[in-house]
Amino acid sequence: MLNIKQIITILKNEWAVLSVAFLVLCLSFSPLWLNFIWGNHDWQLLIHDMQLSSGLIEGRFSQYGLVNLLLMGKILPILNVVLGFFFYILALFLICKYYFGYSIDNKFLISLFIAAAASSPYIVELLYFHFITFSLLSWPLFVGLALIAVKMAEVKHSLLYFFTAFLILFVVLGGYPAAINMFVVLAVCYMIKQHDESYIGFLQILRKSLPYIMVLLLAMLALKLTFIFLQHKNLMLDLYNNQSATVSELFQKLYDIIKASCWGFIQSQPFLKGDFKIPLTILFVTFVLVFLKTANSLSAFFIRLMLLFCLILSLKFSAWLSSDNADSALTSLDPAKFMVRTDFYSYPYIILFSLFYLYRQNKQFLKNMSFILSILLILGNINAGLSFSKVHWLGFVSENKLLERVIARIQENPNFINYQAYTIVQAGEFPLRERYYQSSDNEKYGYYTLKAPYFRHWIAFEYYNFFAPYDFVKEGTFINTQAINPDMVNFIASDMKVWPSPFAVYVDDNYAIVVLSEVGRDNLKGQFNALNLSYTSRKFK
Amino acid sequence: MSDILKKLNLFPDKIDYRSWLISFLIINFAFLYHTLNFIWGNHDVKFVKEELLWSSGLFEGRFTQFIPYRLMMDGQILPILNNLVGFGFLTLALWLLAKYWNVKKSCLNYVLFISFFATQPYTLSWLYFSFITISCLLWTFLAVLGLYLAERVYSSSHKIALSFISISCFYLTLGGYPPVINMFLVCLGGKILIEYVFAKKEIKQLFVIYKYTIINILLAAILFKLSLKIFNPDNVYNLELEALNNWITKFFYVIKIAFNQFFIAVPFMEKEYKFFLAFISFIAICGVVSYSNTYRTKVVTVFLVFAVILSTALTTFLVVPHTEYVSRIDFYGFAFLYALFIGILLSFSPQIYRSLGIVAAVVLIVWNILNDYQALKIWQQGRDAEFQILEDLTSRIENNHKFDSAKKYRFYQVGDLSLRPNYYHGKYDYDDVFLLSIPYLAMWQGANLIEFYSSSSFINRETPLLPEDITSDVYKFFMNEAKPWPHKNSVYLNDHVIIIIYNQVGLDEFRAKLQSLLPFINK
Repeated sequence: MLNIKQIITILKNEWAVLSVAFLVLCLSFSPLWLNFIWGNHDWQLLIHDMQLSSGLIEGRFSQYGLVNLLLMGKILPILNVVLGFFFYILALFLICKYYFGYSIDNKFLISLFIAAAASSPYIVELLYFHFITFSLLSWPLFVGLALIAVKMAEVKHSLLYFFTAFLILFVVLGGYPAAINMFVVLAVCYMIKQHDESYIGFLQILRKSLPYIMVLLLAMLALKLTFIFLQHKNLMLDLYNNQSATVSELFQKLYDIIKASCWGFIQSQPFLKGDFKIPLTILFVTFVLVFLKTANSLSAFFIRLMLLFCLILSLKFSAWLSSDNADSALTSLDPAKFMVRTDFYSYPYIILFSLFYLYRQNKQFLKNMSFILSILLILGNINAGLSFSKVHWLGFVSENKLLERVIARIQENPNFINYQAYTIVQAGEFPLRERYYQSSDNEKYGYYTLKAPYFRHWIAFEYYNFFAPYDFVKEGTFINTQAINPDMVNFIASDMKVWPSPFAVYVDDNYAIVVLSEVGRDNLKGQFNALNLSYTSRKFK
Repeated sequence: MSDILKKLNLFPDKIDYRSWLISFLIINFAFLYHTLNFIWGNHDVKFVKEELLWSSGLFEGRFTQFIPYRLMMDGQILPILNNLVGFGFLTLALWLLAKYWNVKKSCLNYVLFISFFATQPYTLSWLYFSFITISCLLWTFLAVLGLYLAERVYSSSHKIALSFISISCFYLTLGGYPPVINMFLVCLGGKILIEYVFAKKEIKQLFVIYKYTIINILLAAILFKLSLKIFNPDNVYNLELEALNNWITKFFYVIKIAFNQFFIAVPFMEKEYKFFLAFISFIAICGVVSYSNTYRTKVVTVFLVFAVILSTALTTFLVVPHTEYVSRIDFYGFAFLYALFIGILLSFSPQIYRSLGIVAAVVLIVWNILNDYQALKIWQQGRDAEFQILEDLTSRIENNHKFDSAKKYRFYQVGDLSLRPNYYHGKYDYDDVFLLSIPYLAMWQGANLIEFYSSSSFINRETPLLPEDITSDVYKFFMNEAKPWPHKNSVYLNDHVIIIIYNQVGLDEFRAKLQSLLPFINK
């Protein structure tokens, strides 16, 4: 085990490696962390702290552990992101040095490779929600430690290391189950490295993989049991993001998942455009070709093919395990197979591993190639990161300006009563980020990276009250049949128009209705028609 | 690569690295507030939201202007990186210039030389427009690189290759911002002066060495003019050249301007600052002249100093528009003259001059940084104030009962408002629009501005305000009832048009235009 002295020595010797990658990452997202721009789930949590139990409702029982331990459960500007970045870089460094055991004399190159992986745009979605940014950025460090523990368990045949690995992985899955991708991807990469160095046979690979498989299965089993326990205690809801696939579904989905994993290298997504995907694909394809070409026998070739198959499957491992019958409309906007947030736990490690793999080959051409690709990736990543930051920033400002105007309109209404707690019915939303983004051809998905509004209608009270001198909104969205009056009926049935029309806002003694989009207006009308029937039957029959 | 750099005496050593890094940090500190707050200017509205195209500068003959943006950032203006990359190029340029001018090599000298130049408020003028910051700071590097390589042509066996690269450097910079030609001549003149006075080379010998530089600059200028013929830019103000028959009268006018520059105060470079710089320049000139031994060399030295000072106003001499006392033009000319004097003081043999150079540079760097921060505070305050008006205007339009966001309106902005000057109480002889008075809410950017933060796109971009939009009602409104912002009649909206009025001057001009339309208005 490492003691404090050893840790200090490592930091002393390796600070340059860590700081180059850390600075590249910080630079790529500097406008974000310097300006404190938050996402649509953060409003309430910015004022009130995050409780340890805040994540239980969706089974994320460990999600807020670290943030409570280190940041007093608060979303703190700069620290929230920068500390997360540090943990993330530390994770990549530990993986390189202590899991893969890479020892390259040129420290600058190591820092370049780590920077190229760390700053990849897969990170962007994690930076949208401040309330989970810190934990999501920290899980890689935990997964890295779990992997190192498994490796130690394998070498020393120690149960202590084995159970340490299991416990760490269980905590990680309790925070964000999709982080499982990272564990699997890196475990497969480790097997690839083993086979590349010593041509071990199939059975030996299986034997070496066994501790990983057992830790994985145990952690997943423990997670499932925890879910059952939480649901039994009514602490957890059965939400879209905690449903898993059945065994038969796993077989059915296999082809789709493999296809999606491969397609993930090519498919343009917001902020993951060609200038990132092309070097990424070149890097991965070169790695695959070199790995296959260096097989010394037919059996080795087939073993390598099998390992590559596992690697590709592991890239979307969480999507493979999760249920397709999810209950949220969001899943069609942001399908698990192309969710950047989950890809964060797989693709950057492929970049890291492939760069090191090519550099460690004997051919100078491949060494040069890994160097050039890392530079290209870093430059592209910085551009993508800053582009994301700019779009996020401008979108956030413009939507906040819109919110100010909406609030002004409500409060200037002659019917508005001071110190009355209103129910806000916000019909629709007004996402504006896309107005500041130039998309490339055939980009897909990226709901949270680009399209999600900062104001979700069902949590209207959170942001309408945020900058107000007092809480003038008590709740959002629900129209109580008791409160319906003829003016409201007239407004919804005939007058109602979309913002910024003067007829987009209705205010009475208890309700304020704001119509922000046509979809919202139609939904409200539909909802109201149902309510209005009962209202008219009660009042006028 | 390292072999080539070594051959060209460009391979950096520890002093180079250290001075480069320290200077870069000082420069970034001087403009940190700008870097962090993404204070873009009035030309940037559309480009911040969208992107710069390869062809964006063609209409005004700036055919290379956006190559750096396209190559490095996919045409985007990116916060923070925009300044960092620009300052990176500027630091490199000044480091190379220090080598070119043989500034005595030490970390302190290099740091002082680089930081003094880069922190001058002249640099601010390239920060106002984010869409050209990188290009225009890159040009300084390419210009010095071109000069440096051209100097090497004389002693190199690769004359054609070096000349080709040198011409390319000059050509690219001219294609991006032609007034950079001031810099070519000031830096070359400075080099010849230094070589003549300190290296004791004869004029004839200097001509033999630097004829390649002159030829390369001329060839690049010819290529530039030919390119303009090919690209056929619009007939814009900044391409108008002075007619040959005006050259003599213009020459004397330019002499006056060249020397007046020492004393004319502009915003954020006030009298005291200018006089201090003039004093330092005077000491440097006296030092240079006294360093010459004979009467003849003293005369030649004075002539060379005179020529260098004159070349700071070369653009003003060549073009019709008034470019005198304009900070962005002076950045490529007069600012380099100051740098030359500081460089000379730092490199002088007598200790008294060197000490004076160091003290002056330190004082000036601190003074520059204070001026920069004052400017940036005022920029931010003015910008916030102007954008608050834009926000209020958006509310006014949205709250108008006639407004329908689904429609496309023809839009016109009458006049503009510049609020930065409201926050500045310094005294100056000559206003510099880029440093102070140009409005963020520029009249010609009205449509882009009003839609920048708005929630919908309601402006008809294809058709401007048409004569037929001026009905008798519109005419009467503008002749009798319209008032500038913030009056309630400062926003006019009907089913087809939105017109906003910012100031009385604009309104008077608009009324004059309307009167010219009077015979055609359907009453």
